Amino acid sequence: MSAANPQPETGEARRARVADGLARFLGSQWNTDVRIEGMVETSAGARRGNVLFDAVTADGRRQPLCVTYLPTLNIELMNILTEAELIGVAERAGVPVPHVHFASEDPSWVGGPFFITDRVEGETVPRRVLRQVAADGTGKAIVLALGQAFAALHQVPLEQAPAALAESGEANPAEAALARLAEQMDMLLQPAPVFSLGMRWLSRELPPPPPRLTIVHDDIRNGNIIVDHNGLAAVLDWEVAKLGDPMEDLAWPCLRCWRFGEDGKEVGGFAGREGLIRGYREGGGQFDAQRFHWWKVLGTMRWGLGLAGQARGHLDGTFSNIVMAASGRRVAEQEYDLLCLLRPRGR
Amino acid sequence: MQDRPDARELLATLGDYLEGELLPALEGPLNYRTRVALNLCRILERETRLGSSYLLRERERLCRLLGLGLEDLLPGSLHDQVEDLNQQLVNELAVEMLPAGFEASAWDTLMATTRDKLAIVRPGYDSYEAREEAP
Repeated sequence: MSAANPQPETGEARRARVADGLARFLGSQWNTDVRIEGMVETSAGARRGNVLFDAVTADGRRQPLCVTYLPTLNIELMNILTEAELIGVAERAGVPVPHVHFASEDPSWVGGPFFITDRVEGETVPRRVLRQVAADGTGKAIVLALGQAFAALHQVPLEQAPAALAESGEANPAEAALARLAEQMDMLLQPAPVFSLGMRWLSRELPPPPPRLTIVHDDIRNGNIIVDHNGLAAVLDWEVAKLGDPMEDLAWPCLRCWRFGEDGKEVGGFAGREGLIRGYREGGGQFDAQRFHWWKVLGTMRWGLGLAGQARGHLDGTFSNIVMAASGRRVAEQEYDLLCLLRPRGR
Repeated sequence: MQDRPDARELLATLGDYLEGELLPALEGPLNYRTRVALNLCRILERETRLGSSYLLRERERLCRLLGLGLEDLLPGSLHDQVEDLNQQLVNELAVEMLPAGFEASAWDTLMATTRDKLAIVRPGYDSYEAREEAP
């Protein structure tokens, strides 16, 4: 009889298994013996694994790489080959990304789908990013570079988008997002008139479809970028990309929850929005302040409802732990941010 | 009546223990979760001190906004009354046509209450007012 509940794999066993799979895979690709050295897991325990490593070939050449892999087949948000293809599309458009060398869905190498990229040196942990940016004085440069990166991505002709992505377009992304938000209102655990006020505003101010749908990354923010001493080095985590309203993309990193205490610097705690708009326009993008604001309101609502959902999950036993419980008492932060965004004239 | 230390004093003691003795001995995820626990202790300490007076203020504001007097409220605890008033406001905000100025008055009410909530769960969070971000 096989064990119904196998012991969870230890960190050491996981690293050894992934190292072995990478050595076999790269060996087969390069047709030489490969050793894996200096492995560092940068997101251990998260849904996806990210591991930095050196691949050393038989002739002693050392290549710094990174693998992103899923522990099993069934928790992909986006097919890994689609994601790898999309990163290539973004790279050719001029978005700073780590170059993708290989992608595979074959679980026999590291247990699940994966792709291997260049290793881009720099910092990703938000508060450390902000400390480094303050020391290097790169805040304004990063915001400008983000504007340019958004513009480059949003200029990509849709026929160049991966086929799987092209199916994700909704006629009016704002309307569809609002409908999903309305469903998410069920997450609230008590009557919450601040959210009702927000829904009322969002419905009334619902923007028409954007002039054109574009590829949107949908999660560019402090935490999903690599920052080095010169500024923005790479944009990561493309797995929730879709076709959508480009202003949704610009609004997301501007939520207060991504500023990590640097509240007066609207874009990710780096700097104000002026550079973002300038970089975006210089890159050929059309900035629409009203639409941008609408998506900020929606994003703030969604984040607040997400926190309420965590508290609900804790209370109903879906995933009980103290962090989820504490999330319930963080909803008020989003309510406050929402009210600030909805401030009536003269208040 | 319970003997002292009272609830507030015990929560302060519990928080000091977590902060001063337990946290320095912990690393990694346990350290993080214990920080969360410490923060919850501090929240409860403030809630014990301020919670009921803030709830009274919330009831008063909601009554004023909805044009209700104390005699219009359900019999029941203060907590239940405030919850019911919030539900009435939720219902009101779902009505298509509202009297002129109602939304702005509702905003005033909700902003005041949200600031009170933050004074318990995240003091200082409302010092940033995002005035440059509004259109």
